[in-house]
Amino acid sequence: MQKELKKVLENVLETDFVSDTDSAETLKTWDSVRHLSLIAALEERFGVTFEAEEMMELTSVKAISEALQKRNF
Amino acid sequence: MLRSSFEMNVPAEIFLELDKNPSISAYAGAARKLKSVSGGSTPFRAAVLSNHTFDIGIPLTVECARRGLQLTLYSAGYDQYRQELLNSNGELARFQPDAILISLHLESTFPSLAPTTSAAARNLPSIQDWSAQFQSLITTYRQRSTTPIFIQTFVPPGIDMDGLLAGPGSVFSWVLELNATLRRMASELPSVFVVDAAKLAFGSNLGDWRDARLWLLAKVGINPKKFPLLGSHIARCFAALRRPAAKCLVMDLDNTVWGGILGEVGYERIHCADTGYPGNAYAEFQRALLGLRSRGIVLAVASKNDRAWVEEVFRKRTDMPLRPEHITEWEVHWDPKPTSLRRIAARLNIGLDALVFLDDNPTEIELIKMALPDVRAYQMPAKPEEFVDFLAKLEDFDQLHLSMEDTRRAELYELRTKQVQLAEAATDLESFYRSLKTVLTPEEANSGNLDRIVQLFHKTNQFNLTTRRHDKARLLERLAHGSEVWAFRARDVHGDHGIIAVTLLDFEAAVCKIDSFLMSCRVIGRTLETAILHFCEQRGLARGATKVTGEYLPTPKNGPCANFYGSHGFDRAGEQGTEWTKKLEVSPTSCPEWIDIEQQPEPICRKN
Repeated sequence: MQKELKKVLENVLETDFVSDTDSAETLKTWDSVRHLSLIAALEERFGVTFEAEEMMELTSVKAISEALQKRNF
Repeated sequence: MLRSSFEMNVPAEIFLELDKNPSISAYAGAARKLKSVSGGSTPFRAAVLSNHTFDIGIPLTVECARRGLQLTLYSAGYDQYRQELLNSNGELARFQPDAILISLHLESTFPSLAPTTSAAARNLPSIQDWSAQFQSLITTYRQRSTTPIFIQTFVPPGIDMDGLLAGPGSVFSWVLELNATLRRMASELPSVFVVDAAKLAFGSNLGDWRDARLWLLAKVGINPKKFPLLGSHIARCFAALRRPAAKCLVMDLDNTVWGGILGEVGYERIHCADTGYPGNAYAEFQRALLGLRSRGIVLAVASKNDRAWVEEVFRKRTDMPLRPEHITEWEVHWDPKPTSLRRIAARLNIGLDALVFLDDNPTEIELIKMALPDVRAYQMPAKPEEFVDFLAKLEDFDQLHLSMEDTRRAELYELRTKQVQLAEAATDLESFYRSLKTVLTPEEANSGNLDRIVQLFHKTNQFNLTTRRHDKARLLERLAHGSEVWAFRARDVHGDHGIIAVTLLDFEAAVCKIDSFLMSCRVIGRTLETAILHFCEQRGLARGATKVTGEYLPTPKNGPCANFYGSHGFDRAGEQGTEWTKKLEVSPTSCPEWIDIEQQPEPICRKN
């Protein structure tokens, strides 16, 4: 799951390598507009639906990973 | 040029991979891969102006690349579309777009048109007022720029508070009326077209087009899941600006136009009529073909069959929609199909790249792809009930607008066939020309003929001396600066051919400069061009010119007119020069005796 998650980020954020510790702070291309496409891409890839409040907090690999684990991934 | 069907270029592989699973992530991946693929596409600069969060850049770029366009995108700031359009020194102006897309979201534009609204509250805004303002904005922009504009229709909310109420005042019908107003507006303004997001949305689960969370959190008007679909449609529109539609659809007959193999079952047992399945599926497909024909696509047949048997079908099966007069060219014989296609293209005087070929037989399709790679060849779907859907989704016939001539095109080709027959009967060229009794009627550009004029600029390749693809807005600009745009109608014993040539003349000092001289391939070889040149020189004299100049800018397709100016007494500027000049008194071009130029009465007003 972690690998798939990072692949989605690499694609959408147009960056060659995403590490487990990356976040919107560390990756230049992870801005607020791109974040929306990222959420949509993750929902599509994993077949999940995030809640509104949740969406705006998923700004790091760690947070996304935890959110997906909660959904049994 | 033969091409191995196993050799695939890199972009094709990228799209194949993408189409297996066209997710948002996959689009982003494809966009990255496409960045490192070099060359082969046409640069295209597009500006997107919107009043909602609309981050469609990546899918739009990928879909443009699929259609041979390398996109450079400028996205204006949130809800800055008015300012950008009105600012002649702003970023939009500096970006110099090839096209502008204005994407307005319903709720952003009209806060009272939301899922929360019921028309019963009587707070729906005035469509008249808003559209008058919007039209004024576009017109103001148009006064300083000729850049084509695409206006996206509004996507209605998938839900509203009207409940079952579906009367004329409902929220849903209000949006339909608003869109109808937009369509009318676009059709009346030069170089303004519609991107029909509403039609797309109706075809793909309207409710899914709005994601409540994304709208409430970040004013995202259109669900990003729909970006590939919308981006694809927008990319098609951009592509249609750059390349003309295919002109002719060539079809096989057995199991394409009718069900069954004629040679095996005979004319009585092929399926092509509405009496029941599968005949009615084929009949529907035939009606769809006629639909294409009505917007200017010429139909032709390339079938391996006995000619007499095929003629019998069309004579005896009057219950099928397709009639013999609907088919412009017939190639019914046992020779290979590439030969048929070459002959059809030659007789219609069009390039192989203007042909689309349909056949149920994959071997025939592969053969065409190898022998004639310029022809767009497609295998029919497995079941006849899928034919119409398949035909409707082809992009090869994309047109941004329709002219009178489009609706008459097939008829006009029929006239030409009769002329060829007449030519064969004449004893020599001059008798042939005289027998035609050709009348040429020059017309100044006006609101009635401007569409056809623009279309000729866009489509004419062979007899086109400078191949300048002027659009409506640019022509109007030149007219405003004193140039003359002349359209030439031709009629003869066979009928009225409509407008078959256009010239754009600039006048400066004592020189008449022929910026553009183009003529439809239908009338090449009848000395009409000489008559037209004579007329242009007369215009030069009338405007006080002593010299006339023209240019020949060679392209792979306009060889036919390479020696046009040379053979009419013009001197070339240097051995390899592109400019040709002639002094008007020295050797004026006279009008051929067998052509009558009919002067129109003085125009009521100049087109402005």
